[in-house]
Amino acid sequence: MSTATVNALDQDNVTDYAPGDRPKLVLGEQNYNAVTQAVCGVVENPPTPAGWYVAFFVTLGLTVCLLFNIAYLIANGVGVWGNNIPVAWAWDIINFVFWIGIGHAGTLISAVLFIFRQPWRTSINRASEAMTLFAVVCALIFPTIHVGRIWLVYWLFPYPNQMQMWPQFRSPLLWDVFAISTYGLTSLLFWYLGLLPDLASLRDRAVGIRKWIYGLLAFGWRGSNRHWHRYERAYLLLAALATPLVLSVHSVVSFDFAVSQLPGWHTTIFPPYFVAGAIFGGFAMVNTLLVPARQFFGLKHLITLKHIDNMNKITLATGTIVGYAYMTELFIAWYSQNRYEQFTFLNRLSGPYAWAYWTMIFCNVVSPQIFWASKMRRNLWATMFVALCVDVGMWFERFVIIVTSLHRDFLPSSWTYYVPTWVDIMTFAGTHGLFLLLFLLFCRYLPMIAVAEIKAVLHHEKHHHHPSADPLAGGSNAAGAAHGHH
Amino acid sequence: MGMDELKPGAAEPEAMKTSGVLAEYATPEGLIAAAEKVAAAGYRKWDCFTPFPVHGLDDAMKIQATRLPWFVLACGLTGLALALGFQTWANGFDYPWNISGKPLISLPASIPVTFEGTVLFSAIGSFVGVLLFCQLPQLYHPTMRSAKFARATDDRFFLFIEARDRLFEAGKATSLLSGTHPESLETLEEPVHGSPQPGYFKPFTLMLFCLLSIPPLMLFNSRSQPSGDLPRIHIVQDMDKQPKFGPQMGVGENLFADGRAMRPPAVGVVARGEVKADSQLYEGKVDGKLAKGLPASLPASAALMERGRTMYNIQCSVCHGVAGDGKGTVAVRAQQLAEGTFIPPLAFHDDRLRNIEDGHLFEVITKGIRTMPGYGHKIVPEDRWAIILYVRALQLSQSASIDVVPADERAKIKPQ
Repeated sequence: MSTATVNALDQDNVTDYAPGDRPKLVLGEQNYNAVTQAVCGVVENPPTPAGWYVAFFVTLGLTVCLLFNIAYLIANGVGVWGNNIPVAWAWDIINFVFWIGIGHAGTLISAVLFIFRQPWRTSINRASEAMTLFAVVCALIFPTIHVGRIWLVYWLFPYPNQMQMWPQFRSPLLWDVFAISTYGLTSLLFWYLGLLPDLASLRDRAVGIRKWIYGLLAFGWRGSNRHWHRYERAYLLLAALATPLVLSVHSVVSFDFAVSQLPGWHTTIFPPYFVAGAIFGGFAMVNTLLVPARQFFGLKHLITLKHIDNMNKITLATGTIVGYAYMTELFIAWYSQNRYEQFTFLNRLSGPYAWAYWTMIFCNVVSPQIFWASKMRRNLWATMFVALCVDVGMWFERFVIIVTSLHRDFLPSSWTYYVPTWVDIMTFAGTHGLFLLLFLLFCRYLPMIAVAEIKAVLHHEKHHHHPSADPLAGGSNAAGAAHGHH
Repeated sequence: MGMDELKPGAAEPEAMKTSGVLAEYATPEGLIAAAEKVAAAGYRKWDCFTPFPVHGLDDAMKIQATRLPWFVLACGLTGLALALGFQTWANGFDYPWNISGKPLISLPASIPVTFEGTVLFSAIGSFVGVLLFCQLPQLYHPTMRSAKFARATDDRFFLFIEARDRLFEAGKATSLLSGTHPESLETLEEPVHGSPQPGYFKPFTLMLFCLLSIPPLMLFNSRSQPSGDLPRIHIVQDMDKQPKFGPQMGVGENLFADGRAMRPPAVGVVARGEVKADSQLYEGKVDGKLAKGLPASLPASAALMERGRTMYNIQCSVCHGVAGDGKGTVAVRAQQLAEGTFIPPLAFHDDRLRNIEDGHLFEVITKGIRTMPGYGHKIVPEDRWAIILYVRALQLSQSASIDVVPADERAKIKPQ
């Protein structure tokens, strides 16, 4: 894959297409081998760029910091965090919801966009599914370590025991256990099924120990059409299962709050509000990861500006939904004439945590509005700025929900101002390290774009992409298109 | 490609047999056209290999729709039944614990876990189903012996007719395929006797399985036995032995002079509703001295007497006897067993006890006397006064003369 071709695309003016026409989703050389080479080349070609090593050691350091903080927590107890009555849940649950929310975007891109037959998902779905899995790993850390007696965390699962007890299935905390476990496992299976053909590609290009490892992981996949037939059915079924799963998992997470009696928590808007917020935050994280990745790994012709454009449109849409949800909460607080609800929202707007609330409003509602302008949607700096804003803003949304509702609830004598400890902060920073470490390893050792799916899109484009009005006159175009055979 | 025959130092070339014919195409359209011809020719054991799913190839190959979706449905329904059934049984029947008044069997509350169970089983079913139906992992296939075949996962499209097909004849298959203008055509060979499984494989797997099953078996074994005499291992010392003072703990004089960690309530402190101002009712005392007579708040009545009889028969008659003569069943039996060393309960029918203050009887019932335990924790003060009233009636019954009985009742009393 010549670098000259890639650099020529730096102008990135390929989104100027005639109305009624579809933009190309794969730029540059239009042959299958080029796609294989571009994606597998990242995994195979030494030397690894120095930047990867720097990032690797930084994130490894943060991960070690995470492990140290977890060990410190287990040895000393939950008192090392800032949580205390009345703010019994703080950074632990904020971080949990934050990471799970980020994971949902990956499943949305993989499954929901597949159901909606959006071909542009193919260049971003592998990386975003991987992001989902790593986000779920980071998320799972928090419910496990926040229980206090971690050595008894297996009590959450229904197993026959000498106490003759079973868990309480009517509690959202237990629904969470099942929802997150199912989500993690289903995402893993979906991701792995998608990986099988690409692992086979890597296997067939590798030698020695790498061939052996990729060979074992690929299960002997050889592209048999009888297998593809079943594979496609299974993929569709998993996508169809993952779609309601995404909605249900974050709804169940929102039930942790909605099922309680606290003003600001006990509201039916939470399930759709949380799901929209999760998708919003997740897409921002996908952008945060992929805009640099496409740059550093030379994949700009596969993750094109059109893809970034589409992701920014979804960011704008979900951000507006989240803004609408904020306004609905305020309206209902007024309309309900419930003085506790009213106080809670006035407290959010103008109380001791007003700085968090307005940060959240700026980051989540105001900053994505620049994406109404199509120029801004295709501007990579604007994309990164808004993506980082939204990452921060979505964390603050969970902070505002959890801490402001807890710190001033029904009994004024209990009111207090919550402050996190260094253990809280370092644990959260450590999970970022773990997340990025896993993502870096993924980029280095696994194909970060779904090669087989891109080739299918390419095939589809070759035969159906036509500038004229007649979409069926693909034959002559196909024969005339440069296939680049060698 | 008989590569083994070219190995230097091979003692003798392995016997090879044809495994099939492999055709390579540069475009999906070429492959589809070839597939139609092969399907039309009636071959059954053949396949196409593509780097991505090519639409139209399923129809060209006349592939039947897979039954995988039904398998996934079955898995999903199993998950649904298991999740819903388990929740209903565990929370509704086996461990019915009332938590915040939530209904024990609640379909709405069961929805999240049931939904997740359905999805989980369906997802596992999809993935495992693909592997099962495709018979993967399958780490060997005759096509792997072709060097060109590596491009099947890259940018070329292959068609392979297996020699096992009943219609297969090497010449006919080759000519059929060359009529479809492939990029290349080769006949693949494989050894007649494939490499045998290494001799160590079976015993090694068996031993590994045995070794891996030891920990779970040990766990099962230890669960069925009591943990023995050794004390529990406390990994986290400060959770199990917390540096705090519990209630009722004695901690020496360093904390408080009386050695307790709890502080008793200040003298004279009384809980709401617990004021026992009426000393005659609650202690049998007037001005600090044991008094005669029932408390003013509890006048004698037929109802009180009846209550006294009931409570006396329940609490007191086992030792003191139904007639108050000290011949209750326990006392009689204890006399027989103890052979004279048992101190018998008192009979009430002597002058000392007939003349003693009612307050004294009240103290004895409340706190006990000599070997009789106190019954204050079992009998409320009102009932104790009822018992005392009845005891006085019993005493009167054994010491009265006929003149005390009303005239119309005298006929009922027969001479002894």
